[in-house]
Amino acid sequence: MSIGEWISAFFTVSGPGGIVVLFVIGLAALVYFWLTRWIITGGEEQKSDYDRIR
Amino acid sequence: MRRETTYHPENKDTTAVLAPLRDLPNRDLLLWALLAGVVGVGVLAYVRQFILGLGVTGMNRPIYWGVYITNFVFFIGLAHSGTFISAILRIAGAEWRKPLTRAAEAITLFSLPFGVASIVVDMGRPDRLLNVIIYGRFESPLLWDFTAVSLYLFSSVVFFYLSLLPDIALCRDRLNDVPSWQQRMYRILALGWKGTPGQYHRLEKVLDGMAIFMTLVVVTVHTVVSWVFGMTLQPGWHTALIGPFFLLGAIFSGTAAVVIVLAILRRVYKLEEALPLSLFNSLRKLLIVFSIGWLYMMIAEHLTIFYGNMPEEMEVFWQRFTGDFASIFWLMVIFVFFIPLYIFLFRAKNSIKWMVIASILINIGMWLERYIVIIPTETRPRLLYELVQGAYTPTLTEWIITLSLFAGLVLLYAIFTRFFPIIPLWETTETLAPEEFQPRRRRIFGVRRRRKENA
Repeated sequence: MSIGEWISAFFTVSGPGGIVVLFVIGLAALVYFWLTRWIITGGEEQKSDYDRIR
Repeated sequence: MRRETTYHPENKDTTAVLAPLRDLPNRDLLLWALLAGVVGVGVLAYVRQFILGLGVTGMNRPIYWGVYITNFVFFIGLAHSGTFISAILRIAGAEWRKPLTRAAEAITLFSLPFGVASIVVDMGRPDRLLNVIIYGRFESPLLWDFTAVSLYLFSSVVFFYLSLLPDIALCRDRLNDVPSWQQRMYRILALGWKGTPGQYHRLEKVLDGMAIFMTLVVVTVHTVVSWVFGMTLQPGWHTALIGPFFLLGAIFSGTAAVVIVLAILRRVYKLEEALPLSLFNSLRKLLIVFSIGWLYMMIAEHLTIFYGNMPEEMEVFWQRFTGDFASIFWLMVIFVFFIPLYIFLFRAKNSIKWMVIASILINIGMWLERYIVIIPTETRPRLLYELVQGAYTPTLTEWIITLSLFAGLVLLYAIFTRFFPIIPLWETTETLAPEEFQPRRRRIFGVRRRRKENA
């Protein structure tokens, strides 16, 4: 199959579209999970204001 | 009392904003029960429709989309309020938006599921919903829609949750007089938030980044929603303007919805200080711009069709202007443009009551606009308009289900406002000027700096 046929098949054959949807949502889930974790772990090395004052 | 180990920026409105969370009056329970009852009746109507089929609706050949799809477009449009106010104005650096971001985002969050539900309700065989994924083809705009709306819903939930995080932690630390299950809920949802400079720094960074992404998604979503119509060759739908027109209408109705919600919250929860009149005046200016923009789009679209004078297009055109749908069309123009613009220019300055009246009219008018976009085209389809002239009258079943969808939206919103702060306390804190709200320790943790200086 030529590259043109591959591209055409992507749009016209049943199935690949659904995989793309799942991929987009799955990727978003991963990125958001990672971002949330990144925010929460922010400054774990730093103590909170309360702790410092104490 | 639980010892507080988390840093929370001071906010003079904290007590007022947290007050509705401490108390659940009978009045609210009664309202919830009433709304739940309406939702229940809607569910029963849907079960009946599911058993008997779409024959119980007014839909027929060639009108395959009726009130349900009108609701779908309307709810998705309403959902744009949150992203517009929170993300687009965030990028624009409009600081006045801060107190109303959460109220707007909550509209987004709770409207979207009802938009999706409208699609399911419209399907004769909802069990085939997953076929969109199993047999998905990117030739179909329906799949574009599915992708964009799913991503938008998911991203909105995350955006909303992240901006709520410091305030959930505040509830966890300050609301010691609420039931234990509620405290446990805050504890779980707060994800161990401590309010360290690093956390605030990262949160701001992520929200800024997501605001840009959300802006792109919101434009995509409503454009794609419009393309479900625009990619067909039907008269009235097949226009390049349909994307921007839908988008503008969505932001317009969404912003008007924010005005209604804010006015109710302000009055019911006594948040006059936290939601000052100046906010409504800022929204008034935005709504004036949107209403003029809406008229511009309206004229641009219809004038082009009129000059083109294509027979099949003119069938739909005259249906709207002088035909079966003329009364709805002109009512829409009056509700969306003439009365609101008059009110905004001459009555609504410093008057919340007039702002609310105009906003209610805008939302009724925008719902009618969705109806006017969808139905007349179906009654006069291309190629068949000389053979088939359809007619559509929504049935009681459709109205009941529609009412229940709106009741569900109000119910979720009302419940939310009783459990979470509806004004973002950490973002509106007066101890930190907006430009100073950066993770510089000398600003947020002033105590530390002073200690250092003293030393």
